[in-house]
Amino acid sequence: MKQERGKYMSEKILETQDLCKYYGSGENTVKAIDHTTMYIQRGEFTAIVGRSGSGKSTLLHMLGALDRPDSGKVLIEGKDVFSLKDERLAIFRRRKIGFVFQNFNLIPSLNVWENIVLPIGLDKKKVDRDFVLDLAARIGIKEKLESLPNTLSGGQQQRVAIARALAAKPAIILADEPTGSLDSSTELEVISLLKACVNEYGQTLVMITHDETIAQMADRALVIADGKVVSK
Amino acid sequence: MNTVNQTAWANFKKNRGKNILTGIAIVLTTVLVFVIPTIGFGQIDAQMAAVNELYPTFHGMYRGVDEKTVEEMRPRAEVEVMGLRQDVAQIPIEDGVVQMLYCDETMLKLGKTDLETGYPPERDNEIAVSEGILEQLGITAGIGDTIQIPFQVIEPDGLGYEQTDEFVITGILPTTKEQREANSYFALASKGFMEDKQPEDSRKYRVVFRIAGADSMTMDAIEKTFEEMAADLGIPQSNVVSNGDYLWANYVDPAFYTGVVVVLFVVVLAGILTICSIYYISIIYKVQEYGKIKALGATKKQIRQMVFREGMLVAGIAIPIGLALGSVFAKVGLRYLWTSFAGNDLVKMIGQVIAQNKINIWKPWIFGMAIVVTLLTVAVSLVRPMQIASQISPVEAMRYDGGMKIQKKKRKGHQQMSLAGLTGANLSRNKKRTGLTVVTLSLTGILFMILSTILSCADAKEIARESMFDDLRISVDSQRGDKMHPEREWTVICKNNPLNSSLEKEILRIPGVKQITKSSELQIWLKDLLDEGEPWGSGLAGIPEAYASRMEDCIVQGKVTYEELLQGDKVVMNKSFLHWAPDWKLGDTVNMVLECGDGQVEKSFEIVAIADMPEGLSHYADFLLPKETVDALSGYDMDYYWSIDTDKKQTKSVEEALKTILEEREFLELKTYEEEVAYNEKNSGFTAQICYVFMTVLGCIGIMNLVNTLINSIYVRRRELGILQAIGLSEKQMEQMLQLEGLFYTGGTLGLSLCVGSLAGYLVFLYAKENRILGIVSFHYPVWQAVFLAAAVIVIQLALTCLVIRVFRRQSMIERIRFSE
Repeated sequence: MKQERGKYMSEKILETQDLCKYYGSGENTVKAIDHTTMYIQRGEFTAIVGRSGSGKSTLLHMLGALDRPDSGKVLIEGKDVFSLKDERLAIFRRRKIGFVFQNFNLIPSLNVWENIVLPIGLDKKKVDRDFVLDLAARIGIKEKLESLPNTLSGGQQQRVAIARALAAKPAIILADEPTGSLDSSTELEVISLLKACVNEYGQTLVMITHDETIAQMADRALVIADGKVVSK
Repeated sequence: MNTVNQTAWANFKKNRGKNILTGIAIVLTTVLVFVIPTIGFGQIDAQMAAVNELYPTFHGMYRGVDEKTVEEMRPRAEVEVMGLRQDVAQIPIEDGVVQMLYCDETMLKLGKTDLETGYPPERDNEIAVSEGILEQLGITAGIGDTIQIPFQVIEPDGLGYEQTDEFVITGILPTTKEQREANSYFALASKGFMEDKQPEDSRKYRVVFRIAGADSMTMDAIEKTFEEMAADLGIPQSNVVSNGDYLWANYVDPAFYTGVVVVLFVVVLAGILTICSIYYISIIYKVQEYGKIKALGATKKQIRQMVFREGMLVAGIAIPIGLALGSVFAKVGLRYLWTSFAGNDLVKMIGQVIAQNKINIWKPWIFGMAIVVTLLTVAVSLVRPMQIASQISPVEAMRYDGGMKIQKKKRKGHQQMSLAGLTGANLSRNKKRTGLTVVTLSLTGILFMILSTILSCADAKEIARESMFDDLRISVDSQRGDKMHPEREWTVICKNNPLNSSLEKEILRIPGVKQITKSSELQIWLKDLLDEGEPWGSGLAGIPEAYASRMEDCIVQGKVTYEELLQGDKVVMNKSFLHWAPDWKLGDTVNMVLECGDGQVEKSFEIVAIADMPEGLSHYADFLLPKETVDALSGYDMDYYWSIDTDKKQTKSVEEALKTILEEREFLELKTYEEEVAYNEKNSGFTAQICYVFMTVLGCIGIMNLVNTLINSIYVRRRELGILQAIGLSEKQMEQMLQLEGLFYTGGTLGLSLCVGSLAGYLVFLYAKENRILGIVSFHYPVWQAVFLAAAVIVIQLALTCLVIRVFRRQSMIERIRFSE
């Protein structure tokens, strides 16, 4: 496993080039991302650390192609994602990237199983049933597959969200403070699970956090301040 | 401004989208609440104004009233105004008559006697004449000229000797076509001349009068008042004449007011549903905010006040706009309704009255009523949102996720997810709300289908055929109970019936006439059914054998053949008569007094059948017998209707020929099938216009409801849609999903509208048929209206969804996801 990771490490899967995103204008301009150039290697677990308002969420949104930058590029597997039209971008995103949000953001009208397989369905692919069942068992929600999200605890909901991010086997998982809404005992459990899964399925994990403990679990931590990467 | 008001004001400004939507719904409701009674009462006012222009405006007249009684009558409380006329003398002319009358000012006014030029005579030797009189006398003269006129004073026992006097012409009266045709004119003489020629004890005035407070009285009550007054004054009933045309034209069916109230009720209900649903859905995502305000210390009452005042602010702006629009619509609408349809003199005059702004249709009380009713509508609509906002606890409010509480714990779900599955899951998450939306959206559609069914069933040609089996019909033009014209009574006319064999021969000679089918009619009194103490006046139709099978076909109760009826002791009752005599049934004996030519004859019949007869068979008579039986009972040929069958190609020429024949004959009238169709078309066309205008406004309210539903379904879920996009829903898929949802509402709305609407339409048809509303006889499904409804709903829904999606797209995905954070 270690060897495999070593092999991937040499390859840049995600990279930004002189990325800028400003909000407001004139004196009120907020430089959320200010000429940021960075990269993330395949198979790596990267933590993006910074204070509130430092621009880390904006960076993550841009890495996940949810928001367009004012200037600069985001390359995923060498492809400039913002050169794609919206429709193509949506398809590219659902195949390459899985998201885990702080608020879980499950669809309340769908049961656990449906939530997990939704990205696959949206991509009009057939669900690999065994893989998803295995995944559900791995993260401990196999008994809850028919439950609706509002009947689950926060930790359970985040596990479902993780399963959803992993189910379509994307190359990259982007997690925006995934433990922000969880208590401390659940927090470590969820992070370990996420890390283990990513390892097992050979995916790349980029996680935003302001928690030093979590940052230390990462292979690498990027510190962001005032829209710039200040230390790697 | 206190905090509650400030917050309400701030909310009012912030929720612009919702408030504009609610505002429009309130504007529409106000418009309808204002326009419906305004047009309704404007119609009545216009009709009355037109009647006043057309007819003499007195309520009644007493004939042969002496000077003493006139003086007794003047101070009576029942009398609003009264005018006098005394016939003074006659001017002899060849083959005609010129009456010299004295009329006082009120008489001239109430009798609508206007001079073309000049003024009525004042001095003894003054006179007002018409051009027609001058021509007859062979005099050329004008106002101010002195002329010699011969006259014979009217004396109690006839006309006096001829005298000649000099008169100064003070005014010229109009000469009408009717006057020239009848060679009968009148001149106005002065009071002095009248008093000089007619000694006080021989004066027999005609007194015309208006009854005080008649505006709030029914026609019957007015007549009763002056009949009682006559009895009091010792004026015999035979000298009491009612101005029937005027009273009838002024009559307003009390059902009209009920109609206005019912329509208003429907509008208010639709208004409440729409406004309520807009508030209800929008409050859902305002709840968090109210929760926060509550957490900051607002009481339940204060929260309720905030919601209420915000709503009232919107109403405060929307109602004046609605009233302004309504004022314009009512004016334009009323003018359009009365000027775009040709009709009789009265209809034309109503059109004129409206076009010339002779009546004020904007009544302060309607403005007041519209304001109060709309405010109440808004207030009622706000009750539920106020409850939701005030009852929720601050903690609950923070977690409140758009009212889409999912009660279920588990869901079977699909193994594979697809767009359709996703849409289905969303729609089924709150089945009650989804259902409610579909139902409210469908209400307009259902109403549309009901009205369309009725209008489609009101087929002008079919209804005309019900009353006229052939293309032409000649009937006797008699009048029952007209004391002014006793010669027009059917009992008098029948003794010398103009529908006789010589006329028959003449008609049959017209090329194109194939056959004449004759029906009789007899006037009867029903001794067992009283109308204000008097026996009920009715009609007995005598049908020819040619109609025997038609009659047998429309029997709904009992059984009888034409031959059996010939025995003369059995009778068929018209089903519509059950309305007046609901207890009468098969087997009962009816005691009738028959008005035969030579007097009354009493006769009893057994009701052996009840028939739902077309007008062409019964001619509105309540009972029916074979023609020969009726004629035999009367002793005369009681032919009243001749239905004339013609060669279709020659109908027009036959009509012309008949007109020429009838010109020379009295008491006959000709009716054509075409006229009947035109009348029905006008009648239903008018109703249709009003209905569709009404439907359009209700449709607008329905569209508002749809816009509201769509906007809210997207805005409430914007975070969820953002997430879906983040995990892979492309823009195209989102559009598809929203269109699918829209399609569900469209399908539901259409399905419900068409199914329930068609069913309800059929039931209303049955009711209309039973009660002869609009003359409806058979069912015609409104195919085109159904297609139109389907097309309209689909197009509107697609267009609205596209619009809403475009607006939604302007927001970036990040904004959507962050919505709740």
